[in-house]
Amino acid sequence: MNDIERHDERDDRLDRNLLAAAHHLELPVEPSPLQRARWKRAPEKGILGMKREKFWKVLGAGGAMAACVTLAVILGLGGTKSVNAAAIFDSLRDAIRKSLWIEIDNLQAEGVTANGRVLLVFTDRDENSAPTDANDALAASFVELRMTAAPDQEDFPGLDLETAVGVTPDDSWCYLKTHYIPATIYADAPFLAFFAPMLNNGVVLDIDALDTAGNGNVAIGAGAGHGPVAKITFSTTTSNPSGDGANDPDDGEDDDGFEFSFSTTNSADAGEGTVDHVNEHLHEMMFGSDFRATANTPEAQAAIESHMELVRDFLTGRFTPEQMTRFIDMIESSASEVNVAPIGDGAFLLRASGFEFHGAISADEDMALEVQYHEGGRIDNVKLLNLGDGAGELRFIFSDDDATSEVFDRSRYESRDGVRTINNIGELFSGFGQ
Amino acid sequence: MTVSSIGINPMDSIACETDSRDALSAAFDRCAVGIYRFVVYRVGDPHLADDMMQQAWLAAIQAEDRVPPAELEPWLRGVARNLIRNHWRTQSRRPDHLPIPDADFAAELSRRLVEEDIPDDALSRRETRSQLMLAITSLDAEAQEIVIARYFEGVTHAALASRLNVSERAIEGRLYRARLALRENLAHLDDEGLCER
Repeated sequence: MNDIERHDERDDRLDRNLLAAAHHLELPVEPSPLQRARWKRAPEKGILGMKREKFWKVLGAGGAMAACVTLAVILGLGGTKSVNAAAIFDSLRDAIRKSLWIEIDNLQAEGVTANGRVLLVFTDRDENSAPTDANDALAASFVELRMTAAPDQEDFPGLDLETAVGVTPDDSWCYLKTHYIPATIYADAPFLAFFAPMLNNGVVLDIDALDTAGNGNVAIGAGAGHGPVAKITFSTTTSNPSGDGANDPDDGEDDDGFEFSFSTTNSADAGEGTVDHVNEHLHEMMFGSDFRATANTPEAQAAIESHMELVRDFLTGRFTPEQMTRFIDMIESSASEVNVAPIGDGAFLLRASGFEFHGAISADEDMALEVQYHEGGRIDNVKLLNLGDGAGELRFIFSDDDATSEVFDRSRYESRDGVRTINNIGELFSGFGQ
Repeated sequence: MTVSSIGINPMDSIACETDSRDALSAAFDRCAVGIYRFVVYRVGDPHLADDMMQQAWLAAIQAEDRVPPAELEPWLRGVARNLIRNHWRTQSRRPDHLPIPDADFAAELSRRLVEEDIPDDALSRRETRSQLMLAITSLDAEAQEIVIARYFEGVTHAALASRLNVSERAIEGRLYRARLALRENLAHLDDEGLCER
């Protein structure tokens, strides 16, 4: 027998043995296309964000909460653009009680710190009608944020920005004030010099008035659930079909326009600053994938329904003791320490910490979850502690109360020294040195 | 007043990186399922494996300039191995049901596979199965695919050749090399459960 024959004999035997062995072997379950797509959806610089996604997964209701925090207000003044938000707000409306406050305290990521608060007020639900627009589900919303960047922050060193947005059926406005804009931004966008004086003093924009000029979009967000996100985008355009540049593909309908976009988002695809884009971002967090691309498949529908069921189970705050036990089991599977302690008046405080955020990253190892609830009753509030690069907190406060009208009153901003109010598009452009 | 458009978008520069990112993404896609099998078989938790795959992708992005797409798979496997190792370091105990490499047993199995027709009851033993699966999931993605097709799915050489658009002789060659690699993996299972060839 020569070497080749001996080799073939051994290889043939190996082949036979493997064929026989395979009958006893079980392969791991193959990852689904949806699963594989998610692997590459991690925020690019978002180790922290990714860990938060894991945390949201722990909660089992993360999409809704992340959505609340990441995007407090979506207005699609151009018409159908707001429809995508309707499902989310409707789900939240279904799950949460009358209103939800989200308090953001010292949330730091990538050198940017956010402090502020968000209020979502939901409409009274009509069981016989499905919302066709976000505003059908969302009665009112309010955001107040202060964003500051560290002096050595890579993209916006020292940036200090204050913004607020109020949206009600009667009035929609936005307040913006820049306390400091770093030279790097002027270098990248010299036109900002035209805006600087007004922004430095503070400006209140009437969003509805801007929309009367034509198309308009406003999107404001502050992030915690999906990497470092702080997005403020205003855009409005007026059609000019007979303009001199009608034959110029770069000219034409955008001859007269206004766009202001600010973003600290570091995810690779997050710079577009459109309402559509923000909505997609929301859906990704809500459903873990591109909603519109996958919702037509049975797998995606099942995943969405399963997720939404979890959202409702958690956010309705009507856990039975059995459900609460299951919830605690779920937390325990990912947290090294879970304690439940009575705090009086039939209330309990669940505190979970030591979550496993796998790998060598240690920044959020101290993250903790606190849920104050009544056994067999409602959840009063949820806190996420030690978030981000600092000891940031997010507090979710569920309420049956109507929001007070003072929150939506823009006059407290308009009355500040030097603040200018822009109530129509003409004032807007004249304000920029036309 | 003509154009009053201001856009402050720090991410514009990303557009110029699209080509290299596409290449990286394609290379990742080619080997990701094989690496996922490597990870999930060792940690036993699909969610944890998903997290590790995300971290592997992030690591790949961060190392984009240093690791050519052609060398991505072995590099990613090293990343996965480190992630698993770090994970178990943080755990107080390793679940009993997870496979534990047994270097001596695996080396003996590697020898027996080519020297005798192993009885079915020996092949069905848990120890045999776990060592074989550790070795199979340590194969590179291409070898895994062809081994799975041949031994788990019963795909014929001709069908495999048609599926991969190569000759049957090429399939035989690939299978031969995959079997060889599998035996090598068995012979070198280390004591960390992170065997890699």
